[in-house]
Parts: sequence; structure tokens; C-alpha cells
Amino acid sequence: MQNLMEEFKLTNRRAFTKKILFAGLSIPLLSSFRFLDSSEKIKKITLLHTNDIHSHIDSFPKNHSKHPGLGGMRRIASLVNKIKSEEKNVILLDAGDIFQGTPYFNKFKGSLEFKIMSQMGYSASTMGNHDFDNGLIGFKNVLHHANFPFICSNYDFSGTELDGKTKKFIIKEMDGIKIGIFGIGIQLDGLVSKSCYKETVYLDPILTSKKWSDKLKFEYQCDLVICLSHLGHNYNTSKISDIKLAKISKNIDVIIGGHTHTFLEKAKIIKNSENKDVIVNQAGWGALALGRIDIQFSKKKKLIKDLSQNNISKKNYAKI
Amino acid sequence: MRAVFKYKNSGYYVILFILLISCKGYNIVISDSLNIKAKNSIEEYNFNEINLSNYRDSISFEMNKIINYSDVNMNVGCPEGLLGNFITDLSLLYIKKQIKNIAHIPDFCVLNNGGFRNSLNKGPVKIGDIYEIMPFDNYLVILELDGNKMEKLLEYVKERSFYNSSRKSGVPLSGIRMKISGDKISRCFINVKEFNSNNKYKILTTNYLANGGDGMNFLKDCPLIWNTQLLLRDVMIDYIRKIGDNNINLNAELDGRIQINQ
Repeated sequence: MQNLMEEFKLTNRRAFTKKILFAGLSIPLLSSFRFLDSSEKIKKITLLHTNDIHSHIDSFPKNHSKHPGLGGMRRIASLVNKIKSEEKNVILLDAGDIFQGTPYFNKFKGSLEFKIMSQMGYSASTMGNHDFDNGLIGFKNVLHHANFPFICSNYDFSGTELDGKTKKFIIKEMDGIKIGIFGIGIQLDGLVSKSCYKETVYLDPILTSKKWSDKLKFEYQCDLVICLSHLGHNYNTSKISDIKLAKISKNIDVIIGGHTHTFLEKAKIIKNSENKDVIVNQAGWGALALGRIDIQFSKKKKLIKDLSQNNISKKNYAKI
Repeated sequence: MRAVFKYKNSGYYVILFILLISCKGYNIVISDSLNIKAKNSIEEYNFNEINLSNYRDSISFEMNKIINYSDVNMNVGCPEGLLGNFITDLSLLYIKKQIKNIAHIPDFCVLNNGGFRNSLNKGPVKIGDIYEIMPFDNYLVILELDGNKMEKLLEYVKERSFYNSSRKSGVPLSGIRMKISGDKISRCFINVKEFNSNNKYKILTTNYLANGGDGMNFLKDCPLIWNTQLLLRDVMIDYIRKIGDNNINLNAELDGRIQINQ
């Protein structure tokens, strides 16, 4: 019996060594068969995004000094539908401050905004400072009208009314592309009254971003890591912003921002701490603009990210 | 037995092969972006399951509620205006009534004309009219100013009292009476006492101005005494409605709270 055991172990070990050898050999071998690899196939994800909607369901009033008759969620919905009819893989995101700005919010407490966003097919949003305006309880009371998650990675809601109601991150798979999304909010102290955010703990936005982007990139093997941010696009001061976060980051591919109501013609490309490209965008406010970023993926190793090559945009956007 | 092992092995290679293919993640090869403006030419979508007109009707019902009548047209003015006097007076009065802690009582109120986005017209006053005057969600806060900050504020008031026909002209005030002679402040009474730069003063203003808005940088680092958490608009609506319930119409007058003697 003892002998038999020994022999069994030995053959097992031998078989294992054989397997390892085979496996080691087969990796370079298999990769050389390019026809077996689907690497040549290009896949495209279209990111659409809004921020600081501020309850602008309808267009701005016709006598508005800056944006007469423009914008509104109803127009954004038309744009989203049109793009969805043209593109295969569309994902719609929001970067916070959905609440406050029109009587719709005062009267319906944000429930209508959430209902409309649910109809529009949002995949996720993060919380902006104004989403705390009716307190944590006010947000919780209307949250069931949203069929999409709120991702708040650096607000710790433990022990508050929002405990367990938001997510630290989500992973969404589209056409084989794994998309990881986390959410970074702005410091509430001084911006939102304490009675509204109560015992919410503000976690360091830089450390939290590092934690979740590393995790999403390596542990969860995401092909695309998106940060939904309500930090603000850029400041003259040392205050953390999307641009600063992009510069010091390592594993964030896209930052979709809000808070500063910044209108950009198109997304900016910022070099991160490893000289890799980070796409940073923001789409104004008041549902006056829809941000659009098209990203193409391949299994090829070589990165040739180039935003100046505006072929896609000119061709596809001209009609709108 | 051997055959089974062989079969097992081949299964292992199939798995290895699949792993090899699938583990190799995707890289971003190209990105492109162009943000789209929601212009007038874009159709306004009608959500099937949400009857927006019901929501709209319910809001316009609210907005069209008449809460009082005004005997006069109130506009912003310089150095003082009916609208500024009316709103600062009612804010100070309203907040003083709300305060339970005597140490929080403000000495005076400062707002900004740039924040009043419409005039208050003679005749019926609807809730929607107040939204048009004050569309911003500014809330009222009480700050403490030392002598140095107070002098900066009074200087600011003086400078703006000379501007003409600009949105930046005139500073709406309540609780202050000021006489400007030439280009100097000759007399200044705050809360019926002569201004003394050795004293500290409590001012009622909005969070917007407290954060240095409209050029009031000197308010930025003044200690916050009390955040009333009341929106200026809500205070206006509540006050106007309450005095309306008591059959008192709205009125305001220019009372020389800021006088300029050239």
C-alpha cells in the first residue's frame, strides 16, 4: 500500500512536470498562430455622458439670457436614441448633481429626474454635492425610482441612511470588453451643510481612486477603467481636480467629470504618471450637452491612441 | 485507465487554449470624442411611460398661486432700490424672528443686486414671480466680521454706490444707514449705533456672497456664526404669503439708508 502510494505520487509529479513543460511551450507557439487569435478584430465602445443636469428636464426658458430655449433632458434623450441606433455598444453615464435647479426638483424631490434617467437607459451615476440637498434621507426616499446604481467610492455611508444603498464600483461587460467604473465625489465639508450629509465620511479621493483603479485593472482584469468624478475639471489652486487626478493616476483610462459646469468641445488627453493617456471630459451642465467618447479596442499590444484623428467624429456627428 | 488519462489531458489543453485566448485583454487603440450641444433643432423626446404634462400642470398650479399683491413696482437701484430694500428688510426681519440663540442675532443684512434676476411688479404676486426674482438656491447664513473686514465691506458698498446703470451698481442693505460725503463715508450707523471698528458685527447674507461671490472676497474667511439653512427664496415666499394672509399688501420705499452728498 505504502509503495503504491509513493508510485502514484511520483507518476502524478511526473505528469504535472510534463504538463507545465507543455504549457510553457504552447504559449509562444499558440501566439504565433495569428489566425487563431481574434486580435485583429476591432471593437468599439461609445461612451455617452452628462453631468450637472440640475433638474433641467425641459429646455431653458425662451427668455433665458445665456441659453434661450436650449438643452433639456428630453433633447438629450433624442440624441442618445439616435446614437444608439447607429452604434452597437453604447453606455450612458452621469457624473452627479442631478438635483436642484428647477421647480421640478422642489416639487417632486428628484423622483422625476430619476424616472426619466431610468427611461433613458443610464448605466450608472455618481453623487454630486447637490444630490445631498434634501439630506441623505431625501436621496434615499426617491432612490427607488432609479433603475441604475449610484457609484460612490469615496463617500463612506456606513451607519447612515444610505448605508448599502450605493456601490463602490461596478463592472459591465459589453461585446467582450470588460468595463470597470468607480465614482469619486467632492469634499462635502464647506459645500454641503452637515445636517444634510450627517455622518458620511469623506475618503481621500486620490488614495481611493488608486485603490479602485488598481483593483479594477488587475484583480478584475478590466479592459477599460472609468472614473465618474464630481471633483471639478480644473482649479487654479492646489485643490484636487479631474486634470490633477489624471496626471497622478496610473490605471484610469477615462475620467468623466462634473461640478465645474465646464463645456469642452471634445475630451482632453492628459498624460498620467506613467506617460500613458487618460481621456478627461465634461459636458457643461443643465442638459445643454451630451459628452461623447468613442473608444476602439484591439488585442494588439501596440497602443496608438490618437484623438487628433477626427475621422469618426466628422463622419458621424455631421448629421446631428 | 490510460485512455481516461489521455482524455483528461486533452481536456486540459482545450482549457489552456481557451484561457490563452480569453485572458489576453483588450487594449485601447484609438479614441475619439466630440461633445454634442442640445440645440433647438434637436427634437424633444416624449417619454412614453411618464406623462410630463401632468407634472408640468401640477408645477404651474403651484407657480400660479397668488400669494399677495404689490402696491408698487420694485426694481433694483443705486445707491438704494425698492427691490433691494424690500428683500433685505424682510430677510433681516424674518431671520431675527427665527433665531433662538441671542448670540446669533445679526446686526444687518447685505445681499447683491446681481442676484435679483427680475423685478417685482405691481399687482398680484405669484410664487412663480418669486422664482423668477430669485432662481438661485442661495441660503442665508450669518457671519461675524471684525473691524478690518467691516471697513472693507463699507468701502465696497461706497464704491458700488457710485456705479451707474450696471448690474454691479448698488448694494442692497438693511440695518445700515450711511452718509457718503465726497468720496468718504462721513457717517455710518449699524443697528442704530455708530460704526466702531473695534467692534465685531454679525451680518446676514447668502452662502454665495459668504464664499466671496460678486467681488466680496473679504467675506471668504469670516467665521460662520450660523447657517440658517433657509433658502432666500423660501424666506421670501413664506414672508410674502404670511403678510398676505394678514391682508397686508407689499410695499417698499426709499428711505435714504445710503445718502450721497457730493
